[in-house]
Amino acid sequence: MSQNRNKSRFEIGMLIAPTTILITIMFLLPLIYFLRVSFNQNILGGFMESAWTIENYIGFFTDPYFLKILWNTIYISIAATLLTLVMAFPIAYILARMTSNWKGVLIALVVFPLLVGNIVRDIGWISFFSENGLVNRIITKIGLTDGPVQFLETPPAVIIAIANVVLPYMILTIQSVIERINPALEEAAIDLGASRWKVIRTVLIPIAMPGILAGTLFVFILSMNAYTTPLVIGGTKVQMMAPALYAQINEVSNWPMGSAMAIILITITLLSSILYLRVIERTTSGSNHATTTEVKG
Amino acid sequence: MRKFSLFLSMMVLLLMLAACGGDKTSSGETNSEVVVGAWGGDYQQFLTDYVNPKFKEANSDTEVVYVPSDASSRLTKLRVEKEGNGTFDVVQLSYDTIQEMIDEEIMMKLDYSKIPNSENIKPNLENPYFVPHIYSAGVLLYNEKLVKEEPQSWEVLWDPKYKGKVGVYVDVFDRWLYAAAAVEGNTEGQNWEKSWDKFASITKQNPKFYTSQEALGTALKTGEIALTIGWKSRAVQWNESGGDPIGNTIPQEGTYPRIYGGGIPANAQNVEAAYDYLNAMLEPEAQVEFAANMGYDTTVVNAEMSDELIEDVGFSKEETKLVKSVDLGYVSENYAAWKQKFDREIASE
Repeated sequence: MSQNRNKSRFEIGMLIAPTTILITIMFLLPLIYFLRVSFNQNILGGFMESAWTIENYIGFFTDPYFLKILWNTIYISIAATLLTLVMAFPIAYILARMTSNWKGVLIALVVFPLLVGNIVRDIGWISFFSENGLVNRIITKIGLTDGPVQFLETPPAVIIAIANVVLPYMILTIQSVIERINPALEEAAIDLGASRWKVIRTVLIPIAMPGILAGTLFVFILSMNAYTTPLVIGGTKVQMMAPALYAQINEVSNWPMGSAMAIILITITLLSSILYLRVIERTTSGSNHATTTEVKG
Repeated sequence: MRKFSLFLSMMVLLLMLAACGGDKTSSGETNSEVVVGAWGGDYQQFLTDYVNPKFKEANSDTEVVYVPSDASSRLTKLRVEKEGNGTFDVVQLSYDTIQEMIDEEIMMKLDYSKIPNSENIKPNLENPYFVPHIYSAGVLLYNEKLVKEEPQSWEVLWDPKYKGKVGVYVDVFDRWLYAAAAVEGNTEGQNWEKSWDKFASITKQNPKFYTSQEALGTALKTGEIALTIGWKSRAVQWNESGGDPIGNTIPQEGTYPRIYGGGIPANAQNVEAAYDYLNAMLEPEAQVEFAANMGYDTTVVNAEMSDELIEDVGFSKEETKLVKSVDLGYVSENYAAWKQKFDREIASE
């Protein structure tokens, strides 16, 4: 019996071995390499030299230019996540409760933007937001402004464009959670006299909270690491970490600073994710009662 | 379990076979490949169509193997392979990135006696480490509806008449520094930095900054901006795609070339074939076809373009006189520091 169990463990081990080896080689080793490079010495106008120095980290945290980029990344990601949540929830709810044949078509429409490359969507936003773009033409024509208004290279434009990219992920995550909530719970609350808004606020949202938190975490991580959208829409005025660190490596060959920035970005994303997961765990354990009710209902 | 063990054994066997076949030169065989690191897509296609046949005339038994990737990947590969055997026999890069490789002692100093066609290289494009393949130059691009007369000087970029109508493509910020230095007569003797204040005063024009060529082109075609510095070849492409007509000119103070070329890494495996490949790149027919298709000018004096092509992508004799050679070592050495200053003092303001 014990021999069989050992054999089965060995087989499972062998099954997951290729993936583990692949992830170690393709993900962990480059990460370790970047961590090492982040302690190297940059030579201005040349390439790096092997060293053990924390000057890249000190340089990052004492340079207002880099700190502004970090601050932009954090607050834009939070804002984009909140905006995405507000936009995604009603759509997710309608999709989850839909029973008609059109449901599949609507889900396909939600997923469709993922099939279009980011750069294509961002160029669409440029023609929408630029000085001679659609928005400026409309507001000038109806007399809201005398001249064109600067939308591109502003934080709101970057937030909207990032939210547009990550919206499908949030919709699909929340929809799958709402679908598992028994509609009888909402009907019971309405029968007992609660308004639709009160049902959403006091019944639906609390039960769907684990899904909402998971969706927001997912979207936050994607926003923190956004590259194309901040590069194209934010330009030089609203810079975020991913394009800025790539510029350090690619444009000025400052690998140590680029690596340090990558490690800082990963660490901040990881720490905020761990913190958030703890909140999710607590919320999930708190909603066990509701889940039980759902099963009974 | 037996099937799984069999599968694993086969994988190991395959890996061993692959390892054995990897290094032909070490087993004493003739190296019948020349490995060229270049851009993929059209670039590789045009190399295959126009350079390969010329190379084959001298090396019928040597295969040309292209390793397509972006420039950053090639630089990384060259750097990590510096101490061992190199992948590339020929590497294609732009001259500013090539200079980084030269500074890091990664490239081989060329023996030009092995490249007979090199005697035709245009004088302002010569380099001891790299053979120029195609080139363009930073020119003044302007919206002809908004700028009625062809500008004669880079100074027009600082003309208050065009306040709010000037666009800067951030990838060519060093061309702006050159323009400022040219206006103030500081391009000779590596004194570009003396004109940094002139360059920085562009912020008074409320310029718009662009991080992609596409965004820059759209802005110029729609009249969002009237003036910028860019590549001549782009003006032709943008004119073909509609919108306001875009003019281009090299101001009287001159400009400097952007050259794409090929060189041989010091750790190349097939150096002789690499020289033949560089020579094939300079064959007049291959030059005209490749440059015309890429939207650039040729780099050898015996590759004559038609007047129409010169109008579109090349430079006339008068214009060529305005394309001056610069010390790329000086640019490369200062580029990172200039970029830092530009990002902090100009672009993000």
